[in-house]
Amino acid sequence: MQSGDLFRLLIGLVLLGQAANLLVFTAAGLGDGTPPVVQIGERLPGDGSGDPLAQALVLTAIVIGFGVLAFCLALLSLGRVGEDMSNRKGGRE
Amino acid sequence: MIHDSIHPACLIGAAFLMGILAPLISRAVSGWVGAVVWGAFPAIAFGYFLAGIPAEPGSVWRDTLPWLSSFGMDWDVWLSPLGRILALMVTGLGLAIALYGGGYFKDRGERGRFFAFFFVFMGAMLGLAVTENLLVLFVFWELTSVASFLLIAHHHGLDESRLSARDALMVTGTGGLALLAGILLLGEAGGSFQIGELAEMSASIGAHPLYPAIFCCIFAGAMTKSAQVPSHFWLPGAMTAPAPVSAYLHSATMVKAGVFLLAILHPVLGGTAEWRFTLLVFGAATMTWGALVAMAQTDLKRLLAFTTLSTLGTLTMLLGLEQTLAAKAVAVLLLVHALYKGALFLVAGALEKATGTRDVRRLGGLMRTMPGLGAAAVLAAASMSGLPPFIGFIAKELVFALKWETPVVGWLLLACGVVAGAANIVVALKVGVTPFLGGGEDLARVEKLPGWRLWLGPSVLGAMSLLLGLFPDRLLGGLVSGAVSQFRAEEPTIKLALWHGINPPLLISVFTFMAGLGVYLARRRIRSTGRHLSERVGGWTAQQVFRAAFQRFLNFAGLLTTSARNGGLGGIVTIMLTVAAAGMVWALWRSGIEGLSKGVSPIRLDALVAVGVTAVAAWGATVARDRMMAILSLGCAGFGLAAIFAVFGAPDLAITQIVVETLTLAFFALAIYGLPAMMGRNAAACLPGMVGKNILAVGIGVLFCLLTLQAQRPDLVEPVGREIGRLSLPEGHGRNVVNVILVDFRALDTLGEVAVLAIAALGVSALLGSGRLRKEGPGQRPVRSAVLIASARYTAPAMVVFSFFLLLRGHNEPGGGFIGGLVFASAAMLGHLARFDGRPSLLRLKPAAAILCGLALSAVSGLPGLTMGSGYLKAVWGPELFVPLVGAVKIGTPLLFDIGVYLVVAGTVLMLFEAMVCAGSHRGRKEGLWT
Repeated sequence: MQSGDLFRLLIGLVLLGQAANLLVFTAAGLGDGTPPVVQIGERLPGDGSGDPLAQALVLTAIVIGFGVLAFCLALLSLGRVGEDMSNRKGGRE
Repeated sequence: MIHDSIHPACLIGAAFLMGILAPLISRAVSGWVGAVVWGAFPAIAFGYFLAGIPAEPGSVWRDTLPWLSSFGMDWDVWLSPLGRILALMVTGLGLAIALYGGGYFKDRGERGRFFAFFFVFMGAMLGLAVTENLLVLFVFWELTSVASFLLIAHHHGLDESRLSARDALMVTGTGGLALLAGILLLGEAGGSFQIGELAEMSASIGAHPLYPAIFCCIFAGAMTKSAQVPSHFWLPGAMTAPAPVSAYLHSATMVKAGVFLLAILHPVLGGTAEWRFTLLVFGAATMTWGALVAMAQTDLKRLLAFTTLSTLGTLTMLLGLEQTLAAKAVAVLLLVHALYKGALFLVAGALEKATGTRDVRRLGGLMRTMPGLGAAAVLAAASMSGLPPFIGFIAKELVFALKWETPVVGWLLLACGVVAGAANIVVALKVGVTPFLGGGEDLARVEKLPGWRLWLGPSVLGAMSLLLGLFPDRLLGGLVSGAVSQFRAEEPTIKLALWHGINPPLLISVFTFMAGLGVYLARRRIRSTGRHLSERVGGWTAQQVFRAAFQRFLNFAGLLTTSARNGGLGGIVTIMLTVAAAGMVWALWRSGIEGLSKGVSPIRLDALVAVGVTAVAAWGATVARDRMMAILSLGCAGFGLAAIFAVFGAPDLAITQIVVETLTLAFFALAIYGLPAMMGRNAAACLPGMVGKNILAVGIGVLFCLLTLQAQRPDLVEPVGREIGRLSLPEGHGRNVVNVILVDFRALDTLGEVAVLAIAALGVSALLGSGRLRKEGPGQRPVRSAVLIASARYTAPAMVVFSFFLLLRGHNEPGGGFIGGLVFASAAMLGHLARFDGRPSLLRLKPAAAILCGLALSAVSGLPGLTMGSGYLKAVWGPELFVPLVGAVKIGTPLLFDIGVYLVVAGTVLMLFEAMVCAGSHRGRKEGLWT
């Protein structure tokens, strides 16, 4: 993210988004691998399943992150300013 | 009682409705019809509050409209005696102003604008008068400030108008914030926001440690609103507003709101030494200062504005005296001042219309040409001077008698009172008498005689002053006794009378009158002395100090901003990350790190592999120099993440991540088409000078790791997810808890999220332009891989079918609208890339139509729940259907909702894709890359 290059900035953005998703996912507690699905004949999801709320949040976050990325990519390809966006306004980095 | 049959809230709603309709009405009517239309609402409301006056003076009508009960924020409506007086002033004066405004503003657009804000203000003011809950009262309070701002800036083309409006809003808005803080503290101390309940607790509130803070905050609010020194300067500034606005807001009603608030809160907060001292000091200072400055003015409206200040100071001071007589004086003076000051402001406006000037030195001898207006002015001026038999006389006698009886400070107050009284007389003579009866040289000529509407209102107000003075007890006795009983628990019998015989107050009155007359006669000399003095202190008026301070503040903010950002993103990100890191260190330090090991679970091999792949790929993406390599590494990291999701039991996430990652790769590839394949070294990752940034990045990573471990501690909180999981099958009728959350329990969130997606798609297509894709024909074929074409021919339709399958089974198994939509969009994209002829018609879905249909479907699916009475987006379930391959599918609104999500997601991705391809092909053609 701290790189001056716009293309790298986008890559950083994607990675950051993925990391944030992962953070929310893990912060809610990892299960033992059982999905939060109520099996036929049961009334509750399996004991070791992760937190379904966090999963729902992350699911929408993934899709929205994609929408935002597409928007940024559109900006990138529109401006064609990918190479030297930095150092234009006298930014000293 | 009339309030039982028509609720006061209806009236307030009607006022706001009038405000909304005003521009339309203004276009439709004018003249007589207009006067009737504009005057109808204030007249009805006035009659309403008049008819509701209870037989027993002190009784209060109450009702509660539930709103946000859990926050203690119900709309408690009450009609207290003081509130009724305020409401009568607002509607009665409103009637006069409505008539006057119709004649004052000739331009229809201008008139519409005035009446729109006028009625909104009237509604807010009535709300203030009839609301008992302090939080709701605050809402109306702020609304009056906003309406005042808009009305002051009526002539928004003038710089001075805008500056004055801004000053007024800043001062009253700041006071409003303080008031809110005071109300919240009061609620904390008293356990309620209702004035009646708080009044019963007044002893414990007075002894509460928070009392000084509560009092200061609430007084700050009242002080700014009622323009007490030193926050008084916005009121003379507000004289840039048109005359009807000054008459209505800035003399009769809005500026009284602060005094009104102090009066109705007196039973709660009054009776303490702080209360008495503060109100007396500020009140007396304002009273004297306003009076002194007023005497040196020459502008009609400024003359009136400074005496308004003086009167507001008197009212505040009276509230600080806390005697039965004081309560009586406040109630009478509130009414009296509104009557004569409103009338005089209207007269001033009419004079300005007629002669084009407001300079009192250039006005004279107008009685012959404008007898109606002159009569109104003389009546009002007599009341203002406190001559018998006008009601102003009664008010003045009451005030003097009160000061006479006050021990110790009474003499000082009396001296200030004489100054204020003399100033009132001087100003009354200058505004009400000189322009009509006086003479002089260089007088302004009458250009246009004012119409009947411009003198009717002030005449009625002036006549009222006389009428009330002649029959004070019969007309006002009930109202005033009620107001007094609201102040003090015991209920003395209140008598209002014009003549009390020859007593000390009368002698003081006579002395004051003589003093005022003397000053008036010597006004030219006094004026030159005043100008001399004001030149001495030039540049240090409160208004100039405020504006200079405000400018400094803006400069400081600008300096802060420019020092924080030097134009590059990197600097800001560094600051943000550093602050975030500091916050995390603090949070960790607070919660202690000894429990960290509790969250660690045994390491699993499959998880380790997934994490390792992700980490290496992510690192690779940041250091690669080849763009394609960077993108592929990024994809790898994404798939690694999907593997992590899968390993830890989140199949929905894993599938979504895989599909999104594929799409991301494709989009990146489209976007970099035409950019040079290689790029410079990643400065942040490699240069030795960037060590600091790398340390920061690694530090943040470690901190997040620790924080996550901390979150794992089982002893912190019970996750909500368990509860949701328990409810999923019985209430959500679904076995896939994630999907149940998305389409049922938290459907409103999801609706917002798909709307965001749709907006992103629209944004991209607006940036890049779309819709040209279809027209280009099959001329260019970006992908010529035979393998892709051959396989896409079969996989794409299969994927479409699979996406339906995912959608339908989503409620019970991994899948759902999001995933289904993504898969469908991938199929359509594949079809486009391969560009085989005779595509299945499903792939020619119009993205915009899909997004619209989907959003509409999702939004509509919430309506059945609303009509069934359970709330928007609450699920309504129907029978279960058997679908081949999928199994049992329960029909219900969540399924419709999920189909809507499916359509939006599919449409969004396709729209994005079309836009990107379009931009790419244009660029490619321009540079000769494509044939």
